[in-house]
Amino acid sequence: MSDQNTHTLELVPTPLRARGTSGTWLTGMALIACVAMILGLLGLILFSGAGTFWQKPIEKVTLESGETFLGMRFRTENNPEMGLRTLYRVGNRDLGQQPFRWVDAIEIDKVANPQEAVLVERYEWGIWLGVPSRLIEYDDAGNETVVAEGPEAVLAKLPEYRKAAHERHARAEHIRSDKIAKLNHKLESLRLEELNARMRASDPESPGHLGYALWGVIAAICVASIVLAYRIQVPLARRLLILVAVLSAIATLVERPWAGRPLSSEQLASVLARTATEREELSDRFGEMTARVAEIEAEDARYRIEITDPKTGRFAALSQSQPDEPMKVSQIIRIVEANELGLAGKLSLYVARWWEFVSSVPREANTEGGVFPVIVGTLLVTLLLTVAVVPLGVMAALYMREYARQGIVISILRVAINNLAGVPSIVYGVFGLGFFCYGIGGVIDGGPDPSLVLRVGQWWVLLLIAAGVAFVAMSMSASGLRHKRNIWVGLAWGAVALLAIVAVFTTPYFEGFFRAKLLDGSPTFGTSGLLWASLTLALLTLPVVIVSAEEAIAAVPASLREGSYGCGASKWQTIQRVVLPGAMPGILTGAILAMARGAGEVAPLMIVGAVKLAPQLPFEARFPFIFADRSFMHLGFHIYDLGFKSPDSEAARGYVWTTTLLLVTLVVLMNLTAIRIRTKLKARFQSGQF
Amino acid sequence: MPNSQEQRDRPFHEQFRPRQRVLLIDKAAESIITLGGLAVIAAVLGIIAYLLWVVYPLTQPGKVTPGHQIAAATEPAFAIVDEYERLVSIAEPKGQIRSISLESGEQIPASLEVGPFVRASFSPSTGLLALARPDASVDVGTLSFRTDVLMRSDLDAEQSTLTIGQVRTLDEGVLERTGDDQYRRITLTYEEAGRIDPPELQSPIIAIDAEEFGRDKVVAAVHVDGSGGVMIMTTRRSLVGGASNSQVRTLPIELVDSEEPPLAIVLLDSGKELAIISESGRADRYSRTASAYAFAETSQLVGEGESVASVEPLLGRNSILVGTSGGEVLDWMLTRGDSSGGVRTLVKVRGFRVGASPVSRLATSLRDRTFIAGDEAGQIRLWHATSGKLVGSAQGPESVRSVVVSPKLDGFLALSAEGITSWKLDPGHPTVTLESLFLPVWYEGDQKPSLVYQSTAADDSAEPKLSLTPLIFGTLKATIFAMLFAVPIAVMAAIYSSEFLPKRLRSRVKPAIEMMASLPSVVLGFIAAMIMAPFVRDHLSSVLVGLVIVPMAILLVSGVWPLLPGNLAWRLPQSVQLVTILVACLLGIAISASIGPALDRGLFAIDNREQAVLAGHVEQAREIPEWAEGKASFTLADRNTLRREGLYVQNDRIVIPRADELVDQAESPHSPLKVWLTGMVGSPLPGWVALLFVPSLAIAGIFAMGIGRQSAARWLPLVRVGVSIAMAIPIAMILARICVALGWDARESILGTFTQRNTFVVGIIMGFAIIPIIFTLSDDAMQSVPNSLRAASLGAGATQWQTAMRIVLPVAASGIFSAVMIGLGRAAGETMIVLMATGNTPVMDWNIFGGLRTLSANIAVELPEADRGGTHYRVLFLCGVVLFAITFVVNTSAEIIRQHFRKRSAML
Repeated sequence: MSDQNTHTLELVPTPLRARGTSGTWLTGMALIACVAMILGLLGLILFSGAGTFWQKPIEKVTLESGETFLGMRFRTENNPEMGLRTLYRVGNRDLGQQPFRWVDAIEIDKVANPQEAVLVERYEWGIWLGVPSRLIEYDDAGNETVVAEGPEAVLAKLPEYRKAAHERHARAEHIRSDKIAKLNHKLESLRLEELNARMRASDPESPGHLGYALWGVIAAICVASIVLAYRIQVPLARRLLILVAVLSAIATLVERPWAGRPLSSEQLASVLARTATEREELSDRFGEMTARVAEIEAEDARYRIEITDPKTGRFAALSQSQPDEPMKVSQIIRIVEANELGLAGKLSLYVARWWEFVSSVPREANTEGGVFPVIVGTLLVTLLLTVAVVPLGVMAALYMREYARQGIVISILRVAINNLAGVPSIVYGVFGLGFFCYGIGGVIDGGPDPSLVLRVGQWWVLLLIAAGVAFVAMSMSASGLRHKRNIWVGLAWGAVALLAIVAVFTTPYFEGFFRAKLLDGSPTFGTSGLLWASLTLALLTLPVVIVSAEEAIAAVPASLREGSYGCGASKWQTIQRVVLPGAMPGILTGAILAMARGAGEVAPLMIVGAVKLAPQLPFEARFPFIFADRSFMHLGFHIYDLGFKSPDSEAARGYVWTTTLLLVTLVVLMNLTAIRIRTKLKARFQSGQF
Repeated sequence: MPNSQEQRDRPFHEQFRPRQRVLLIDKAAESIITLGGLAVIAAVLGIIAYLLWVVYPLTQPGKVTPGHQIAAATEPAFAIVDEYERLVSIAEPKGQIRSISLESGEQIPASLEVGPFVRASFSPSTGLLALARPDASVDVGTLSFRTDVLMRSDLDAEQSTLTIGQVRTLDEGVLERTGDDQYRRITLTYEEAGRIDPPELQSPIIAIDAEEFGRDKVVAAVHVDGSGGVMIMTTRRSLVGGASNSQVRTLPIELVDSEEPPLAIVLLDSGKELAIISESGRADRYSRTASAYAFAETSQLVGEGESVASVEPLLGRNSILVGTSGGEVLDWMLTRGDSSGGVRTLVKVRGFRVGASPVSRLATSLRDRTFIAGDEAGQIRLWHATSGKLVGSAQGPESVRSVVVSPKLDGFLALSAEGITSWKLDPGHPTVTLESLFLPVWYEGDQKPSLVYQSTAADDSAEPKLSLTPLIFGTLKATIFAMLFAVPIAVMAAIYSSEFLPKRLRSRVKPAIEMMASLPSVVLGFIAAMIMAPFVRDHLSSVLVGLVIVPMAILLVSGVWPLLPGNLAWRLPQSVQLVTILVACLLGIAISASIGPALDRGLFAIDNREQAVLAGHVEQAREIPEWAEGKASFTLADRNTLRREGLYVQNDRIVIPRADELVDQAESPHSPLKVWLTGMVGSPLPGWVALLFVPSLAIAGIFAMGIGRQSAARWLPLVRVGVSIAMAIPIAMILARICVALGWDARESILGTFTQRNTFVVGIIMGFAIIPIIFTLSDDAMQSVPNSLRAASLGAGATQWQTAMRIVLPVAASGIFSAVMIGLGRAAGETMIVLMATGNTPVMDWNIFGGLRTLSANIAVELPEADRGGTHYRVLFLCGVVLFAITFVVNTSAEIIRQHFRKRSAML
């Protein structure tokens, strides 16, 4: 070695180990693998999701055994244990067959594409493959007239009949969804009113109420102390007066002497009499509406079509129980001459199917129809969560950055909040179910748990203690020593908050807003629902928002703040006009990231509210528009449910892919927005900093 | 300002005093933000406090509060109480069953007359009462409380004046007003089922036990003359008319000689077994055969110098509780012991100490395996037999004659000569203790203590088994396999992206990978279950081979690359290298797809004899090795030993294959690997070879590094790669032989029976889910290494690779470690992927092809169905707490490391 060094100074060849060629290649492979997996995944979702609605030709398959059937090639696989085989979608579930059928490649004799075969999408029982044979019209007496016979004639005549049927369908649907639903809603509220009245009538006389005179005095004290607090400038007296005002306001609210009185039997009778007449009136109108719907349905039943399955010679039936009656024209959603379609036809069909998918309600155990309620549910949850999380998150971030003393406590808090961003979402779900649904929801529905309720005197003592602590905390935070006693002030306010929560959960004055429904066995807020799901997700994304908002606030240069103070602005003015606008892009990024995470999260939703099929949309065109107590559907949960809980997993598969495509598009779009905002923000601050 | 003249006249600082409104708003904003900020932080931190608050009651014992005290002279043979705890009925040997109202202490005027008896057996669970008459006959009947729900209209005016909750004594029972218009009447009823009077057994009975098993009423009795018999009364209800007819058959007990008279007889296991226990603690067990109860074994139930004070079967009749004179209660369980080779024996499972006085009173609950024990000093204790948790304790009167647990387990009574004392009981969560949640528990009917999670029991007598250990194990298993896949790929990719990738490409690749971090996990779960799992099932061998072949192909190409003519290898742009890697990857995939099945058949070939075993062409082996005789079950090691002698095991029978009837192996569509994995056939060798190939490759690689240390020849890399691959095969063979010689089998460790939804798939997809986060954070960590360090290193003559390995990596190591920890936290808490892609079976083995159940999936599956406030609900909250704790520890350590790293890099 030393010998070499002395003689050849000019070129020592780099040893191979130093070049690390194989190492570089392996790390390169890892990167390629990452990118390939991601692109592969996105490609798979895009390809499968986009391909679902593309119309495939209808094939007439003849097997070696001589059996023939109509089917659409669904997918082909070469399984080492099963060999080459093809899955055909054969539909025609009414015939008692499986809608999907595996056919081994060696079994197939020949495959043809018959021109006259059509695919019928129906409102019930899935698709039907067959050849249209007759179009029939019945007159009032029930005599049938064959309007058209043979595939071409039927298909030529059909559009006008379908148009009429479509109009009738729209009319009936309008009556059903609008008028009848409203009547139902009124009937339900009548029933609840009766139940409430009965419940109040059987209530025992509640003791402990003060009566009008005392109540009036307390109300007067409340008003007087508010007025005095505004006038008096002595800080101590002012604080005391505020506390008195708050306490007497609470007393005024909870001691309403007119509330809680049991109904007398005459009052009850009059309520019942009124509801009875109203109900009669409503049921008359109900009958009228159903009669109109029945009329339309009778008209529908006059136009029939026979579409024959070539294998059995049977036609698509009116219903399962009437297999010999041909189906009504109005049962058809869409009739597709799959083998006649050109590219333009296929494209328009494709678009129409996507439109149906995003705009209509699910049918047939979610495997047909659309995902409109699912999209609405997802958007509403995301919206509510954003509404809840952004102000709270920004508030916490502002406190931590602008108001709190920077020290060890805040550092620990920061670590803890960072940490909470990594806590599994399912833990938040568990908390949401226990605290929001059962805890707070239970209190809203039926008042606090009877075992926790305090006696009236005890409760007021508790409230007084809370008021005392609040007074101390107020004095401490108002005094000049505030900054040195940061921890104590925080602790004192924390104690006030804790006492207030305890007071809410132990109040003897509150019996719940929805007691009647609870007695009925159907909790309103005391179960999972939209509101609790949004709040759970808000809590889950809160750390994300706090962290990003804090970073954004910290990134606003101190020079800007100092400039603002120098111009004489107050702290809040500085925050409002300098800090928040400067931090807004960063806050927005955090909000969008939170939305994206919230929209894609499923595990907590499984526990706190998403359902397989929500009976009603959580959004309606009457007050209060968003019904936060209702259960809802969610894209993520829909994927889980369709993929794993669906009775017909093959039929559901296509829908899983399209739903996945929708969800991934939503999430990716939100992320892209966040990334764009972030790059813009970075550019802005980098240029503005120096 | 409008009125400027006035303003200008004031002193300067007065002029610029802020307006009152501004000050007020500032103050308000400060209070709102402070309050709101603190509240938000408190709420976020309050989560864990709330979870702990829900979990806390699990650790608490039951609550006992004194109830009524009634003076009544009692001398009970036995006593029962109704489910609402309004009536207590006391049977006395004279043949009267008197009922007493627990509220008022009044005696119900009408008492039941059942006739005098010498011994009685009453089963609270079925209400079956067997009375041994002085003349050796036995009367069988059903004693139960009847509850009638009455309306106001059913009662006379005087009765209906009760207020809600008030109880009144009637002629035949008690009446209670339960609601507005609802009353409840409770009366004791006795329905005689028949008399058993077998002619062959005529001396008086000294011990009797009776129980109803389905349609059979079984009465076991031992007579004074030393004979014994079991009478089975089978009732068949005819389908028409509802009339029933009973048939009685008697099976004699083939009693062995015993000097002592029996103290008690206990029917066990649906009447198929019975035990006769004498005062000294000797228990003779008899098993039912076709015609009699034959002697099976003798056990000594109590220790030296002690005697049996009381005996009681536990709910389900698989265990006998024995109260000893020394103040203990022993739980003896009938089980197939581990040591007994699968033969049933009575095994002592647990002991409970009451005090120092003899435990003379025992009774069991009808709801679960809780029992009550009272000793002669008046100490009363309630325990849950499986978990060993003390449910409640009380001090009763000294002369306790009988103890009773209420049917709903919400109270218990002690009857003494002076009267009746009752207590109210809130049992809390008797099935759960800290030990039962984490340590093995000996469940009824099991061979040994085990860790089982089974929240919903198949039938009522089975108990919920709530051990969290299998779930924690499942979480760890899924996390470890995911990390094994994710960490190397993510960190290596980050190294390449940070150190070698051109900046332009990097600015595209990184956001793309980052975006994947927020891809909904439900999508990944769906793809794992619907695409990956079937794919792996169909192409298992190719996938496994691919994991080795693809990196090998890359290594080979890296060896070939310097052989390019001229300086081309160094001058080509980076993107060409990337494209080459891609091509090599694809090539590797193609190769593994084609050689996978062949390798599968080659390595794990099933020979003719095994083929015959699988097809069932076997005959019973005649010559069985000594050690295997009489064995009830065979482990994998046993099978391997037998296999060497040409013997196989089928359905726990030793067989020899009839190799003359052969199946053509090539026809079989099954992958031999999957058959091998089941452990049915095949020697352990090929598994070890496959498993040890990668470590061998590493060993060979280290060796090959030594070739031409200082040389820079172009062909050297290729030689090195070639040598390592060539050497890896013999090394793997040798290592595998060593493992086999040691008697190890890989199928007992991380290999095992293949199931479609398995850990392998979960590992890959969950790895995929955490790759983006590890990648991003590691890349950030390496990017924040100051460029001056790189420049210095390169300037001193180091290559790019040396700089990356020796400068950047060590500096960024703590950042990368923290990234890995955060990824670990993510993987541990991931729910949807494991929920969808595993079978959710809470098993405890390391089999990579088997299922698992994680804490998170368990919560997601079970919480929607759990009863609010119940034991199961709280245990699921505990799952949440454990998960929170795991991720909190992991994240906090990551955060601390990150802070440290930040400080250090700030110094650089």
